[in-house]
Amino acid sequence: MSGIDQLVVSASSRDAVTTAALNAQEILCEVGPSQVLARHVHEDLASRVRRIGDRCPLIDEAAPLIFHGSIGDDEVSSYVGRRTGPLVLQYHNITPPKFFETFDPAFGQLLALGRRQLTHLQHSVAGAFAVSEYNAADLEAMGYDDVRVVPLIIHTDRLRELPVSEATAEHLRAVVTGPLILCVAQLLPHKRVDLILQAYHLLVTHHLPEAHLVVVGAQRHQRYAENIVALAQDLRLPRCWLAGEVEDEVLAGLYDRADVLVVASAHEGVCVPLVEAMAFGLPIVARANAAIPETLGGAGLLLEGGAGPLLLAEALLAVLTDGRLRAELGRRSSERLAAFDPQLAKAALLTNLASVL
Amino acid sequence: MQLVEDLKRSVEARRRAGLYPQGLEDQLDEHARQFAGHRVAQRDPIPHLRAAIEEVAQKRDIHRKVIAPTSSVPLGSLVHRTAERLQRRHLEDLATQMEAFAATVTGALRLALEVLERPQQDSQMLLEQLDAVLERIRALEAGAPLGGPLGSMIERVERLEAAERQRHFDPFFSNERFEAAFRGSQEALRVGYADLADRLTDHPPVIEIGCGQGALLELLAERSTPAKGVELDGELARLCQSKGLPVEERDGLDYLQVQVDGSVGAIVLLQVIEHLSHQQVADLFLLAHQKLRPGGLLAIETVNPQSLYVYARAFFLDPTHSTPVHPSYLEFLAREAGFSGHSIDWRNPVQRDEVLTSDTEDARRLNDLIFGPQDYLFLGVR
Repeated sequence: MSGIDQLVVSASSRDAVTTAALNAQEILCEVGPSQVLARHVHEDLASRVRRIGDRCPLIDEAAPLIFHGSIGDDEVSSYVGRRTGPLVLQYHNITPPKFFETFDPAFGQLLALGRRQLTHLQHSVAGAFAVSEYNAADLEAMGYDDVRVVPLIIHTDRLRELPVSEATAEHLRAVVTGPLILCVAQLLPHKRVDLILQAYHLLVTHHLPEAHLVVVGAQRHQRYAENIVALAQDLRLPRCWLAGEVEDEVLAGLYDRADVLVVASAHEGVCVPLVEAMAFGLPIVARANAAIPETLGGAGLLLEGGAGPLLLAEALLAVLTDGRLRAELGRRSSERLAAFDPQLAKAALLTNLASVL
Repeated sequence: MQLVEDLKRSVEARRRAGLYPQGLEDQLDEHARQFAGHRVAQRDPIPHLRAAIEEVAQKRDIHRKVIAPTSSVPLGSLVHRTAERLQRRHLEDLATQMEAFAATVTGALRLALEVLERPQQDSQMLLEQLDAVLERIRALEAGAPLGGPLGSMIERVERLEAAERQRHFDPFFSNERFEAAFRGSQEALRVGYADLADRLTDHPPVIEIGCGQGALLELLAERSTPAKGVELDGELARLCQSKGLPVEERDGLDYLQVQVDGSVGAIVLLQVIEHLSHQQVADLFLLAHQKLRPGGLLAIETVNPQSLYVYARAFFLDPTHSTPVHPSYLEFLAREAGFSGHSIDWRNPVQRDEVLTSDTEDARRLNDLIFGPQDYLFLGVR
């Protein structure tokens, strides 16, 4: 195989798709020169990711390309069409537009465009990969056949080995005196952080006033994020910290200190925070939506997909007050981590690439 | 999972014990929706602008005493007063100009505020209307009944659709099988219609609406009379086509509609008119008059409603029969549509062994009423 390039729509650090591409680049570089390309590049990645608009002599447009499909973009779509080399689609899932219909119809249309563009792409790809069984089924529903599940390369080992930021450790020691619930999710409608805030409100009002909640996640949609902050303020949550996007050292410290990870998402293509929590042996409470049951694979306390704040609060209460349950869930989390071994994921990527290119 | 079931039971127990107030989930839903379910209210800059303009307005009067007369220096106060006296006129004039300028600026700013406020009020009203529409859509999606004129229209359409479904008849058997069972063999039909075919040879081209299995068309072909069949039933149309007959699968009235006015020699409907609606029968006469050339024939054979025997033995055999059509009504239609003449041939008399045989006046009258001819052929002349 000659060098293989990768293309993402938007590259920013701590973005799951970008991280997956950068992790894959490590193994692809062993095969040949491999570039990560993007339409939009955040400045902190300017040295590692090239913009597709820039003419660069290092980019060979006849080289095979892995396109990480995650949202619609006309320019990316035409770039993919312009490349002359074989094309492999790695599908990370496109959030169904319905989650944005009320709140931001324009963004919903962008998501719908992404789905249409992927549907049209099916006859141009040499191979179609999906990062989960759920995503594979989604891609097949768009008309693709022979979709292979090629798992994400998630380096939880690196997160685990990071030295915890001193400031975070100090803050957690001084301020977080009760049990800590951690939520790692971007503030977007389908992540249902609103449900977590409500559940936490019920928990501290009726059962466990000393509980703390930290919500970590990029505020990718400024206006929606403002809504969520306003909701939290109006609920007058005493020990709730909407931390926004944090450095990996801080995140590691939070995973290390937390007593439970809660995921209320209505839609996930994989849900990387679940795997990160597994690396820390953290008990998990989640709602059974989209790929979440598949990623959990029996670990975690899995509530039904439509579980409301009362049941979520009850589940959090059970985990935070029952040491045996917490230990059991923690053990299951640790056991499940083996399924996400990054070396296995890298091997799966190479094997599948070799068979389609 | 057992644990999840236990958790649900625990939630229920707390609810029953009154720990969670009635309607708590709805309240939480509504509360979250207020914040997260709608678009964010934009920060309104208008009040700040209004306050700033008012501040400008308050400071509009220029303070004229620019030099305080008091002084700790000997003769300082005198110097100040003198200086003020010397500058007063200039200062007064300057201050007046500045006040006039400030008044103009304040007025302009107020006007600008008014202009700015108007579209904002409009857009706010539009947003409120949009929210109301979204609210309504959500309620409808949740199954709320749709009121108003649209609701009653939908109800009407649903009633019509239900009625149409009841009227719809799409049996498992074919028309060919049905005709074979009840209308007699093709050979019998050929014998029965031979005289009509002879008559039509003088009126080419012939259009037969509802040609069935094509018995008449065959007879016309044998007589080298140009003819065309139109059949709504696809299966029958294909059967005719397989015999080499010129038959098109379509609605007969539609087919007539596209013919050139005054170009058709004869229009024939055999055992068809009783399947049509009242409106279609009336339309047929007007259309036939328009399309037939002068002297052209409109030939309609149908069951004879003046014979009670027909009701006992024939009419209700076919579930697609709509209404029997009285010969006098066809005569009326022909006159009204402008046909120059018409005649009636009584056809298919009841077999002799079925009629009353006694040779009395009563028996004769009863035979006329009960055992009259089963069909009649109406012939209208354009």
